[in-house]
Amino acid sequence: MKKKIWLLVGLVILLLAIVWGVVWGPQTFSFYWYEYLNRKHLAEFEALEEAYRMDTNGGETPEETLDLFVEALEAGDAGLAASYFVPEKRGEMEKQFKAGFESGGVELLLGEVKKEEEKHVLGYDIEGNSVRFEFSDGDSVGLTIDLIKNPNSQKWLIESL
Amino acid sequence: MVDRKLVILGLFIFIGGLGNALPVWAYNDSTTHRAITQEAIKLFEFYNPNQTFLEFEENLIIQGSEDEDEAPRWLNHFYDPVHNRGFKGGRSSKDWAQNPNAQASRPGNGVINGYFSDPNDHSWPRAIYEYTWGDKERALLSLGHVLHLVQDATVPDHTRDDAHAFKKTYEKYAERFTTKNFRLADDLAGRGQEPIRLDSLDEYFDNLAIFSNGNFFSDHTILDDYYNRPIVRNQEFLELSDKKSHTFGIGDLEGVKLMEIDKEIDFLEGKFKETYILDDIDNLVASDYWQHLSEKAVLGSAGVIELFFKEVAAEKESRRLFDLNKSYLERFLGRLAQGAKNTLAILSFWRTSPNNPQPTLVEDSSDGAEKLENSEQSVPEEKSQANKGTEINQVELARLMAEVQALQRQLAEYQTKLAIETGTNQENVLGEQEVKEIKEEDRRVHTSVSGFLGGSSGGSSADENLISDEDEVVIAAPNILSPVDFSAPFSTATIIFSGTTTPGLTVFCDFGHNNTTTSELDTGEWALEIIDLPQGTTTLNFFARDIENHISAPVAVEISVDSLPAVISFGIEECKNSFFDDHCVISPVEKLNISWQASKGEYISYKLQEVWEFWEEAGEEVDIKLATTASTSLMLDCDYPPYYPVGWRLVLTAENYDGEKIQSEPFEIWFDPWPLIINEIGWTGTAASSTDEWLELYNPLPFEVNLEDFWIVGLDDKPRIELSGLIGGQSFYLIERNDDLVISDLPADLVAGFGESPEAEGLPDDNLQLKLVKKVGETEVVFDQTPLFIPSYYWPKSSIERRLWRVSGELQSNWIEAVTSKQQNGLDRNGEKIGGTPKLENSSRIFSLI
Repeated sequence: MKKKIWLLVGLVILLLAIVWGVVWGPQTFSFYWYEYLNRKHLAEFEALEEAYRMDTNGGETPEETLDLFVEALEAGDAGLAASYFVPEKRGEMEKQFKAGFESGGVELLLGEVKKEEEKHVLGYDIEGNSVRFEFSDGDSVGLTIDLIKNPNSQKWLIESL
Repeated sequence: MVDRKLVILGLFIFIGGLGNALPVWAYNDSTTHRAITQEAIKLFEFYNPNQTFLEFEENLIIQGSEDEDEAPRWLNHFYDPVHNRGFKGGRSSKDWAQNPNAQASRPGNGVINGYFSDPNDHSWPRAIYEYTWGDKERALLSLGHVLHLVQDATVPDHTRDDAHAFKKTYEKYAERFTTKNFRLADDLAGRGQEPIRLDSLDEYFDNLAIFSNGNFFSDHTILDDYYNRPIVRNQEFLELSDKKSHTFGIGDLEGVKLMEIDKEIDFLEGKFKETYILDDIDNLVASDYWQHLSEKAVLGSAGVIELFFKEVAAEKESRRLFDLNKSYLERFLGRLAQGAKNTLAILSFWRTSPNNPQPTLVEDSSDGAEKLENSEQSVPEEKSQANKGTEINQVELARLMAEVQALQRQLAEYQTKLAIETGTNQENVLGEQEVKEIKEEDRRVHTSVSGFLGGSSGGSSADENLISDEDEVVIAAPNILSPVDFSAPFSTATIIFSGTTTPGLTVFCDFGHNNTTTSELDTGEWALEIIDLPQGTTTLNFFARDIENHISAPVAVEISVDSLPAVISFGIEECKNSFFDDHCVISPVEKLNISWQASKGEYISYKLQEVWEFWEEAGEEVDIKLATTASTSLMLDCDYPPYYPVGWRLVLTAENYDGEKIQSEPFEIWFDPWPLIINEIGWTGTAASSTDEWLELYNPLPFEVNLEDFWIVGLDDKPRIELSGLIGGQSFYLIERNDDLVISDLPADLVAGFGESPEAEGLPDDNLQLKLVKKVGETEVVFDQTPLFIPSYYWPKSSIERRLWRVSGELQSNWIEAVTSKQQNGLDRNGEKIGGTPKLENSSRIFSLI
């Protein structure tokens, strides 16, 4: 008799669990799934934030960063040249520069950025945290280089080339 | 079960941890969203004149449109209509906006408590429910949250799944538009543009997202294979401000520049290739985007407000959400009770006479809808024009009162002037004592003698040059023989006077010290060096005196001294509106109206230079020639990074015909819209005592400022705190309530009561709004002010701190609860850490990408 009672209780609990699962399962799963995704995405940003926080690369001024970058390329050091980019682009840029040493791309780049007389500083953004250098190609625009200031170290890094 | 609790606990901790996070994308919540929402409300009111909002209701909607960006909500602000998904596969904003379960703090929403009871829920159904059956103010706040999401659907980055920390050209561009400078509703209404009218919120998200996704690029999805549109139809070549030719891609929307076509190096191939950017130097692309997308955002948002009221009306009829709000537990128990009652009724029927009528089944009363039928809150308020009229009348009345007061002031000034010019006698102006002294002096000193060079020369009679004492001894006034010419100014402040007098007499001058000499006994010649003569005209009186102290009449000499080198003095018109008296600090302007004047000499050319500039993080030595001109005034363009405070030190060099140059003293001018700010508020006191309240000001300028005449005032003058002393350059100013132990390890700059009765009154526990004002005469100039903090929506555990100095303190989103895990400073009276950062940089300024 006692066993039957326990069996009944168990069945009721099972029934309730099934009902719960049917009614609330999808909502609960959805809730946790999206929280998991949010957490994952935030972790990526936290990692990037940490990379900026720890980073001390770059020059005190945009011009200094550009000079250091050119020196590194002239020395044939792809890793060092890439280190003057924003942290999230360094890996990719190192690969590019290594290929560029072979293809002549780096030589082409150095030829452009050394046109000192054609270099124009196009001014800072609204908060003074980014700047663009433009290298003329006759009457039209040639290469442009954007730099940003690492808000943590206050050092300037290349954002795009 | 234990595991589930742990999971939920972990989730809470996780979500709590996200409280540090700041949004990285979207229209700027503190500027652009507010501006768009404001214009949407205007447009809605234009087309729905019988359904206008009161000012505080508008503010609630606008506040909601700001608050939606609070962490971690912004992760749900993406909707890619092509792939029907949110950020990197996450929840779409279209779902987030309409799903109370998604916005709930925990799963199982509606099981035990009502479906619309979670405090985090600002969904569309919740807004409609609250407006119809519950808290109308919360409803408007939630409506603002939804409008934020609708507006984000017009941002290509949000509809093309593009999220990067720095490169976000369109949103950066849009940041410049605020409630103060963005006006679109009037223009739209004038063009007969009506709100976008659709049947559901789903349709709004689809409509707007498809438009922004299909017609515009985001920075990192230009000609991306993932999206087939937009298509570049042709190219346009334009000369921009750098005088170079730039190439732009043009899309389907007429004239819209989709991107600039630039060039970059292909390192694999070793040659140039095309690259595409949105941030051309003149913002042509971004402004084209803004022109179309901001219009869509306003039209869409206005349409959503209309839809909101339609749905409220429908809800009143259907009670669908009202029924939905009952928790499952409530419904379950209600049905159990109903079943039991029905069973009892049936049993009762069988026990009684068979002739009794059929039992009436008991209605499920758990709905309780009827009891709210006549509730005041049950009817969406269509505000009467009378209310609005009263408000306008009050505003008008206040304006008229101000005008009357101004006229009264002018009248008083005029009367004062009139009295001085016409009727005031010397006693009134100088005071009795001074007049007595003057009269005494008049009596004592004989002033009838003023003959030039005295003696017999100059046409004055000898008698006139004599003065008699009681003994009738007459002393002849001295003669002055050198200098001879007094008509031209002297270029030195030291002049040697010489002349003759009766031999043996002492000659003295009434100017300065050591001004006495004795004449030669044989010739009567004398010489006297007068030093430190002031610039300008001075009258000197020379006397002769004998050994018995008999004094001659004076010989008056009027000389003019101009011994200083030529100087140039600056005048800057805008400095008349300086925030401070001892430094020129003004709000940013586009042009400065500068004029100057050389004290003497003729100059033919002037060169204005900026020799030094300063802004917050980096001082920088520069020497920039701003202008060369022959004129003595110019309008100078103020071209500087708006990275306040910005300081200019201007120097002017003038050159004369001979090539001689003189240089002005440096003149400093500072640009800062908020030169003194309220920086942190210890509203809730400390762990030691809730009455241990404190406030912090910050001076972003590099020089100290005198706080005399400054006050901190709250609503209804609660609190009203008179400030005193100095606040150092780039320094904090700490105000502690009642004693200096509130923050025991940091000295207060001011200890003050926060009310008339210091012990009893502190910062108000209900609505808090503070202003930093300076008394100038009868008026109070507002230097800075906080938004209205409403505890029901915002009751902080730590201090409330300002996020950015360069952004208005009036914006709710510019304030955040201090994140103690990032930064803390100070100890309370029990030695426990303060939940805040008094006298230290605010926690929100510690670097954070998210």
